[in-house]
Amino acid sequence: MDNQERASVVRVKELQKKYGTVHAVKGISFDIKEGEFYTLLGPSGCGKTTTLRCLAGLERADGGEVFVRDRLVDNGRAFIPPYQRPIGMVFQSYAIWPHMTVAGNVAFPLKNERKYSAKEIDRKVTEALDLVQLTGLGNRPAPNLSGGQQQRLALARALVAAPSVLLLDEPLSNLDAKLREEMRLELKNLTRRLGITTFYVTHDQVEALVLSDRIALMRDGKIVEEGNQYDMYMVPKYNFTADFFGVNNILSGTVIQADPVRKIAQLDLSLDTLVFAEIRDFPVEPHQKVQVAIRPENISFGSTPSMARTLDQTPGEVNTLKGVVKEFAFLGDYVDYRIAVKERMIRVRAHPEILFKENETVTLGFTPKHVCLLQSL
Amino acid sequence: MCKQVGCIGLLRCYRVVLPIQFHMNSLQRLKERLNRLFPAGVSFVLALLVLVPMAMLIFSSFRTGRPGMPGGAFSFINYIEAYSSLEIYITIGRSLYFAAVVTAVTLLFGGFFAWLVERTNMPGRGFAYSTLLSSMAIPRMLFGISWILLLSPRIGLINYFLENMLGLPRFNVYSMSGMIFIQILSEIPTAFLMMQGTLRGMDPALEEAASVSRSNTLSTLRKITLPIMTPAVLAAAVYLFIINIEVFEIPGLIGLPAGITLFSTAIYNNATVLVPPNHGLANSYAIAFLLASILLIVLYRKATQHSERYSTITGKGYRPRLIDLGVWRYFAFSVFMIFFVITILLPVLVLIYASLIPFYQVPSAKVFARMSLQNYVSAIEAPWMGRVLKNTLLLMVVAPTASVLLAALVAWVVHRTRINRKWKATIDILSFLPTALPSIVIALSLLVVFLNVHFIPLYGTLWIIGLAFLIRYIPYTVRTISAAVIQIHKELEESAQVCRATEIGAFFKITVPLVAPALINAWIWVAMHACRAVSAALMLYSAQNEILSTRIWLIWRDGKVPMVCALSIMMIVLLVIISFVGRRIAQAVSRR
Repeated sequence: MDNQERASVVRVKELQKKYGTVHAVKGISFDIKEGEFYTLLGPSGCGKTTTLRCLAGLERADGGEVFVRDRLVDNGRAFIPPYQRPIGMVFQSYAIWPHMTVAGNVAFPLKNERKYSAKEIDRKVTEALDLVQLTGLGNRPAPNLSGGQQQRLALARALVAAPSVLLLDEPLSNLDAKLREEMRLELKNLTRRLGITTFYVTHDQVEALVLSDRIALMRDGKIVEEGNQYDMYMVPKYNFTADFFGVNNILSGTVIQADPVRKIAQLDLSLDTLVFAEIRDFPVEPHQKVQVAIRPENISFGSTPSMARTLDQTPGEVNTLKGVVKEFAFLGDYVDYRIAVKERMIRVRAHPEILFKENETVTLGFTPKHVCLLQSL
Repeated sequence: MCKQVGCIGLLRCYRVVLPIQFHMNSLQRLKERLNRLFPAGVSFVLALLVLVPMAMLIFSSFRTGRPGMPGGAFSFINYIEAYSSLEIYITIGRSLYFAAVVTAVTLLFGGFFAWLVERTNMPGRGFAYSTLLSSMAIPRMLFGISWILLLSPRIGLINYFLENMLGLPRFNVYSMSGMIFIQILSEIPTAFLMMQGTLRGMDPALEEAASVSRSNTLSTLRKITLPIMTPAVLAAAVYLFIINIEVFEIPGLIGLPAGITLFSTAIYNNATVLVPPNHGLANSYAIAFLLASILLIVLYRKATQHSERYSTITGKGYRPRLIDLGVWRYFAFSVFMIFFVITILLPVLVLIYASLIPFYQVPSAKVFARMSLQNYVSAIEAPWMGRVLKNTLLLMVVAPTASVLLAALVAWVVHRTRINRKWKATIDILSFLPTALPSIVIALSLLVVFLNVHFIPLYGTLWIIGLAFLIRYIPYTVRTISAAVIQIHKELEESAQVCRATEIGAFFKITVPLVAPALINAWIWVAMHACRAVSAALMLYSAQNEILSTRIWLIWRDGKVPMVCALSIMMIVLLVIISFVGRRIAQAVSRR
């Protein structure tokens, strides 16, 4: 990653925000580089929208510093109002002004800047509408647009004044599932094509994974973990992260042996055998209590041990467990199994052609690499 | 319109624009401090308007002597005097009886009418609805006058026909039953509107669910519809009861000449009719009145809080299945025809008729031959006409403007600034409190205030009446405008700010155009009420601040019936024009 070399567009340092007695944001810091798609992800009420609003200038920070393009815009005392910040924003409700036309909405930021001629405004509005595929709809009253079109309009309005950073506050949450998927991809293509720095806030992990260059996971006003989408999903550092993304088997147990040289630990997870796990970011010692995450899709299984070939073909330790199918749900693109291994229930995701009945005995297989040791919060 | 709202935008903009400069000079710092104080300032004005008159009322009810005059002492003498005579208990009992009977009957009729219009296949439901609505357009005072012209024992036209055509005894309108009858007729539309709102808001699915659960129409009505409506009906009952306790026009027109005083007329009598006025006594009546109203308001709020739990509004626009009345539907429709005749046609016709003849008498060929516009001519040529018209129009412009401005400021403070919850709750209570202040009590308290406070020379001016209206209509305007502001999603304004608009720009370009119809509607409502309401203006009457309504009242007292009727018709025409033009403007603005 060339993060270090690129200039940072947004810099937030120890940001604090309180509402009365509620401490919404408890000192978070991050850096968004030029052209980066940065996502703040978290459950509702974690302070992510508050952070975005502080960035936009719609809330005043109670402490910390916010820089946009190296210009201090808020430090809890000094404050630059939203209309003087080089930002564009798409609101959750789109906030399309119903008393204006489509073109009127897009022209609004340009007119407020008072430096463009009517001709230039017209040209820029047309360009912006073309960009979001609303060509020719400029004269329509804004409320006559469909949900997806309003979304595009909001995007055009946010982009038209060429902001340094585009702020998106859960912009896809008001769309139906199919349209959401479509817009997700379109948003990704558009931001990559324009190379615009984007700050995105969402509670939807799939959106975050699809769109982001970097994701910061938030909980209770703090950033828990930050990383690229692959690491956040595959090798999370914290149990909260492992649990937040998708479905995961999170098991707790004790370290029996740890080999720091080969980076392999042996764990007792109250399963029928001990389990090998790869040691990654933090050292572990025998007798230490740990939690691990094993993704359902990383477990392969069959009726015999040989059929439970692991996904990873490199030689080394392999974990094989024996279990009994307790429940399964056929979802079309995969089958979701719940398999009892001793007292534990392990979820496994299998190809739809792998079909087992309830109470059949099966063997599960997975490599140490896929047993992710976690730190707990 | 734009101008007043502009002030809000301006003030609002200062609040945020100024504090942001990095190196603020002392002037800017001062301005910032002022802007931080602005929500406090608005709350303070509101508190001043609502609380000072009440405090003054309580204060002077403990004081002997005339208000504003030296030599008074503090004592319970007013209360002792008021509450040791039997009279006050009779008045209280009479008022309660009056209000209870009127409330019960209007609710019954209102509910029945609402059910017919909303839930049955009665023909002409649109006609029925507009009949009920337009009968509200006739000011209560004029409604009372027209019914006296119809039912007075001496000159009443209906009485004449009763006696001479049907040989029946005359009905004396100057009685408790006459008062109740006319008040019922004038309040049925209000009751109808409240019940109709409730019925319309009810989710038909609740009833449909009952009917698919083996429940027939009648048991659905009894076990589902009525229980669900109970809180709303209770709220309507309390609200109507408050109106009927505080009503002045009908008891004043009918009760006073008949010697039947109710609460409101007792206060009016003691404060203005008696020479010298007995303010102390009027005050202690007013305090009792006030306590009763506050009690009722508390009940009302309890009832409406409860009704929110029964929240029945759904987003789906399904119309409920209409109940087939069979042949009865024509009978039902004829009820509305009768209602139209007795609440609109007869009153308006009798007013027009009487305004065209030299003196009030039974219609005959001779009378029709002598009809002319002479009464209108002499009204327009009267020496007081210029003053009265000027005052009326001035009041109809200033009172609603001030009222809408204040309400917009309050709505802004509550919904758009970051004040804490307790503060918001206080403003909420303050802006609801005048509901418990009958016009006559507000007028009395303002009288007391400005008799004592000489450095603000409002006593006897038009503006003291304006102030009374301003206070009286706070609950209505604040509620209407707040509702409109809440409808405007905050993000609409915020997105404008992000789009390089200053707060003032955002407010002007986004919020003002979007709430303009509500502002105009509230303005028109207050203007119409400022024109038609009589009690406060009468309490605060002086030679200079005479308006159309007080002039009508006073010449009615002098018995000049044709002149009263000519002025009444002029007032009705004025009101119709305002409401018509106003509705057009509001429509044009909201269509934009």
